[in-house]
Amino acid sequence: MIRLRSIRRGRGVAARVMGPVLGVLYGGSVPGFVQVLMFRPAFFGKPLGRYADAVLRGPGRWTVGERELFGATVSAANVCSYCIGVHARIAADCLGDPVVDALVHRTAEPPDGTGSALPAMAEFLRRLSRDPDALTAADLAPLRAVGIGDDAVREAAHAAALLEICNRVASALGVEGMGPQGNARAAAMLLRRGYDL
Amino acid sequence: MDADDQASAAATRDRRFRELVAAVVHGAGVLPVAVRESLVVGTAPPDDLAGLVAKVAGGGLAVTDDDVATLRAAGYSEDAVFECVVAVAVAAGGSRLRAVERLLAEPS
Repeated sequence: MIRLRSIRRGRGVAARVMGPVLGVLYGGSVPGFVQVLMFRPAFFGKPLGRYADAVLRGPGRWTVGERELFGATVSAANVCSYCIGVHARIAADCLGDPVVDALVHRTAEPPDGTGSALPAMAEFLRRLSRDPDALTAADLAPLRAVGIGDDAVREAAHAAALLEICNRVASALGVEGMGPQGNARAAAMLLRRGYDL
Repeated sequence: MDADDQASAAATRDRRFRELVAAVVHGAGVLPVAVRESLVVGTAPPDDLAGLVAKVAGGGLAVTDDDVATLRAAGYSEDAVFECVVAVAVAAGGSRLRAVERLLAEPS
């Protein structure tokens, strides 16, 4: 349960008007993290949504599915059940479950055709999440060896930074993960409408 | 997508991150701007926030209801707790972006 009563109860126009609307869009109840975003939206929810949309949906070198996979990878490193569930579902909808099982959940080998860039980038982001100050230029070598340029690294780093933020907010405030149905509804909604609501 | 489009998209990502930081530091809030700024840049927090800051910086999983209750008993509102959590989380994102820029600037 979300720790702050103010967020659970909601506040202002966003909660009164957008709450029911988002409940319908999400196919039932409003996910916990969305409740957080609707609480004081000018302070956090709106600028975060605009940042998320630029990072995960805007034009880029990585596909939407690949960027969502990076977000899921970071969320797995931070053990954020809410963010893993949603972003892994979106990545799986775009790239297929076997890729997500291999690179996010690490329960299988990457399927044929995965290529080398996506696993290399995901591994770098896991290290970046764990200890950013411990990384050296040598950690970039595997990326450059498979043809990942500096701007593609920057782009993936934004996906990582975004989820480092979301993971902490969700975990610290007690946002609980959803089940498969809730994740699927949220994934469908976010693929259809993006993050800048 | 051509090089100009790529550059424009990259600039948008950077700008949106700066806008998020600006909202968290300078937007309407109950924690003083100086405190929020110190949380976002990762300098030493006020003593009574230090425990929560460390737990959020470490990923947030260790935060408990008791942490919130302790701060509430010390006079912090729920809005202040929320602002603290968000500011420290944004700091964690910023530290990853800076780390990558540092690496990319190093000789390979």
